[in-house]
Amino acid sequence: MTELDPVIHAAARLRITAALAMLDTDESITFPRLQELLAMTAGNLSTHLRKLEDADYVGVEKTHRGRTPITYVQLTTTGRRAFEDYTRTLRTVLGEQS
Amino acid sequence: MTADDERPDPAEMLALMKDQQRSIEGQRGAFVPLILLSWGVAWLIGFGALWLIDGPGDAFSLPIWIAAAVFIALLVGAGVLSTVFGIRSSRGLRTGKDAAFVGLVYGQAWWVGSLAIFALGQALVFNGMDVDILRIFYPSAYIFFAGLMYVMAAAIWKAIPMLILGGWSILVSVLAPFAGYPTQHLVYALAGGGGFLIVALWSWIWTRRARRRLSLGTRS
Repeated sequence: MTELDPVIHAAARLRITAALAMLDTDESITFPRLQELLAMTAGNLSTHLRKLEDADYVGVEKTHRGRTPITYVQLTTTGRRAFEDYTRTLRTVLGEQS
Repeated sequence: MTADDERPDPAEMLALMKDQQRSIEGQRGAFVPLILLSWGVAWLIGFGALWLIDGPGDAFSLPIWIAAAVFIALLVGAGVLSTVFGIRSSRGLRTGKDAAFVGLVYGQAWWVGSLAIFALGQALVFNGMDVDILRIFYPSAYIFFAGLMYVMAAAIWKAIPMLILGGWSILVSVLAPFAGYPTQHLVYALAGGGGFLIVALWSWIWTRRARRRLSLGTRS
């Protein structure tokens, strides 16, 4: 398998996926905090999150704390696997020993 | 085709991925040097004040109530700072059950262990130990315990600086008592506080470099 997953193989989406992959499997992060860590604009981040969500790589959960709406983002199991496959393929393509 | 649909170079992408993760580690750890700095100052000045009670001999003596007040204020201050920064670093994160359990057990172990050491010291006096020996026992036992907790933190969160700090604290805690009172307090101030300050500087350089990784490379 040397085909790089096109969903992840774009700078912005790779950065988002790499960031989310650092969380534990049952951990999630709020949209604003993710935006801050990635230094992306809200518009850019939501556009790419939607593409990742469409591929079922990212789960987005909208909830409330009191009256404030909060959006939590996390990688799905499919997304975590896809990211692992992607990095493995990347290293294979580059001939790097992992 | 938009810029997004271009097929980027694999080598650049691998570098971007590593830089991104390093950058986040740096951002999330940005508070660590400040915590270490506050503990370094607390040890250096706090134990320094305790040493000044009897250390300089006839030349000078800091009143015991001033020394104790300085020591306690600095330790409480460093504790509060650590808690505030610790909470700030995990803002926006919803932790899972595993992490919550680890955090809870580790956090509670601090005060449970501290109370146990206090009780142990009193038990030794109850069994006939000279009260003056508490001056040797308490600082040593507490620093030994803190060192063990740092080592545990290093094991749980895979943090090498904590391992070094923990190992160093344990070493200082078992060697300093041999210097006897009051010189041991000078050892805690210089070796203990100095150790914290060196690791603070090291972690400050590391996190600053990590945070800057991305701004040098690709941004989108």
